[in-house]
Amino acid sequence: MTTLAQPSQPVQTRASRQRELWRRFRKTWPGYLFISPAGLLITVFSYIAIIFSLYISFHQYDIISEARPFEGLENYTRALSDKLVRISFRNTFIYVVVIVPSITIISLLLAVLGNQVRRGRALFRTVFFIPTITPIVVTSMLWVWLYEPTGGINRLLEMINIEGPNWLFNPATALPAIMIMTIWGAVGYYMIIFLAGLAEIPEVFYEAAKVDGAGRWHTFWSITIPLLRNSLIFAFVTLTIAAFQVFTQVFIMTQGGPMNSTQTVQMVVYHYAFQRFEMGYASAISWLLFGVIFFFSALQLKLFISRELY
Amino acid sequence: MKVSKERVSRRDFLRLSAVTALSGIGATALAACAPAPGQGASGDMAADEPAMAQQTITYWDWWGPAANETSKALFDRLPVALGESNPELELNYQNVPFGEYFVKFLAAHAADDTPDVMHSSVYWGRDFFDRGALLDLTPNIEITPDLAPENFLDGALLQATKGPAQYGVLGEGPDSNQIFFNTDLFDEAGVTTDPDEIATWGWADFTDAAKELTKRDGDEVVQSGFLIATPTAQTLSVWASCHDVGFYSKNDAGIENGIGFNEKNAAVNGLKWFLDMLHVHQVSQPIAPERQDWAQFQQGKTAMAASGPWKYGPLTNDLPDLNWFTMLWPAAPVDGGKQGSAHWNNMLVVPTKSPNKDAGWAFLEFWCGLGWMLERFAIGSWLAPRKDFYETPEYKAALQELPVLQMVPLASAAGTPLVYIQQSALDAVIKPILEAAILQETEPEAAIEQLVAECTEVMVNAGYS
Repeated sequence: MTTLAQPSQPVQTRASRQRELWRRFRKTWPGYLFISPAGLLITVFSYIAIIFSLYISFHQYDIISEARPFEGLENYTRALSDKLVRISFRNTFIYVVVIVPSITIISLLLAVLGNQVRRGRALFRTVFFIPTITPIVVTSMLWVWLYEPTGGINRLLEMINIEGPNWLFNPATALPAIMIMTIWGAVGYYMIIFLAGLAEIPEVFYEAAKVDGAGRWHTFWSITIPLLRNSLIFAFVTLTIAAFQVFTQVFIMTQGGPMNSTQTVQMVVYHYAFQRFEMGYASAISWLLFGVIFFFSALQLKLFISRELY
Repeated sequence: MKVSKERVSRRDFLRLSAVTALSGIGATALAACAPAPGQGASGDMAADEPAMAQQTITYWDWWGPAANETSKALFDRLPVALGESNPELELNYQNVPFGEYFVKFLAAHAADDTPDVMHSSVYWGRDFFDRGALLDLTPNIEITPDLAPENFLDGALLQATKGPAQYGVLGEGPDSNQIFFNTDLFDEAGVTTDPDEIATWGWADFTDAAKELTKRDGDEVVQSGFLIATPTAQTLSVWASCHDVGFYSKNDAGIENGIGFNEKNAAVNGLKWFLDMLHVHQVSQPIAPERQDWAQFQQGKTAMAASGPWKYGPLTNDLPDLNWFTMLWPAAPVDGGKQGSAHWNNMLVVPTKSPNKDAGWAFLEFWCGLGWMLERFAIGSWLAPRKDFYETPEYKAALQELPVLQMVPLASAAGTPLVYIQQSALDAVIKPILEAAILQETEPEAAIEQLVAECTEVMVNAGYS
């Protein structure tokens, strides 16, 4: 008896589970239908492309040639010994190390300042936000003019008796020049993020601190910064990812020169993929960059995220 | 009239919306994936001649009717002229912007969707051919006397051939690097403008002229004698030409097998010459990526600037009051030194995956023939790479009107052709090394030694050794 009863149990369970699934599906299929076009597009143009790039990173692949031999890790080992790739990673690291803290600090200070402004607050925010909504191609072109040897910046320096450099054709100043332009363009966006974060901090904390006799500096460090932690993490992680992928401004302003002093990883990927046909090799460099970005993003999340909730 | 009082539930409404939206998207996607209908150069241009058409020929070009009125006139005329010459062909012209051309061809090749025939920049031609993406046209050329190599300007075909194989037929040009000079500024500085006298200049004479033509306000150069730019592969080619050597070395079969641009010390000499003019004599404004050389020439802020014959028309039409002429680059101070230039010619090619190779060839034959070249000349003053073009009354009449046209065949004959083999790779090597030299971070000899070594490596890796 027991032997007969036992097999019927899972059949019943499976049938009821299927009925439950079907019932749910009847309720939810319009939702899946709505997201399916986006899902299809993301699958085709992102996920499949990502998987394909991983596949070709192990092959010699130039799109045109019929032969696409498997090369194992050769593209990766070549990248590690490629002088141009090494230079580009070095420049990109320098760029990230300068850009991420600079933008974070400046935009945080602007947000705190903007939060205290009583009159003209909207104007203050607008002025700093305008560069963010201007396409980077346009701002890059404008800064190229400003950086001319006889351009606006050097004319200003001339007024205080400083002879400005040939900004974009001097290996010592080209990368800093691009960094300055990037910082100028990005602080507005992150200022808005921090302003939103500041608005979320209950006034009562500041009042309590005031009652306890805390000074401005102490209040900033002990209340504002901890309670802005989520915004700070967001800024740090997204800035790091974006900074590692810097391309447009370099492409427009210097093309990686002079003397490769502004060559970045994305520029090198573009060079190998779209100027030298070496798609497999370019994909390998891209995956190396992905690994670096993944490592630093994970590290930041590990370091900054705590279990304390504010 | 009966009106239904049944209400549509929110869930039913969502379902209906989802089905409708998905159907719409599906239909759009299907439409997008379907083969594109014949697309004329300017709307229904090609559809004007349906009765004559037996085959549709797909042709790619980066020049297009939208560029300006002259281009529009050319591409309006093209299908009509083609129909008159080849009634069996109907043109499906597709304009692909130059910036997207290379990548789009790669994608089209990978998708087996290439055009029947296309315009190819010399910059991509050899690399496409080396990878098997372009047909060897030699068998067709052998049975088409009108397109025989001897009908084209001397040296012009070197960029469309690899040894005995010819993968392109010249469809425009010849383009070359020339030095434009402002004759008013020359007169003002007391420098000769006589082309015959200028043709005897060496590098030292040129430097002296540039010095005379330079004006300063304190340390700042307000009028450059000559605008020095960061040297490129084309500059190396010019320096080689002035020494009467080639950019590449060649094997017995005439195939490039290495770097030749420093034979007779040509590249070192050229680099020293530029450094001398830039840093010692300071005849040029500082090099900067954003410097607008051509605008400066048009505004009279430089007496000399390098450019090419494609500027003849715009200068003549847009700035009729500007007095100018051009010269070839002066002879290098070595035995065998001569006037030089770099020249190049874009071409028409037939992709290996062309769906209709015969029709592609027929179009190519039409485009590269003298008849169409003369029509192009009549419409937009475009010159031609064919020898017989320079014997025509049309050209001779134009030469009377615009004597500078004589410089085009001269430059073509004098210039060193740059075949652009693996040029992106070479440029990536050349740029930082020459930048370092021009910024005086490296000695010219050391820079060129490194350049030759690294460029040779690129050539060897590409199978040219």
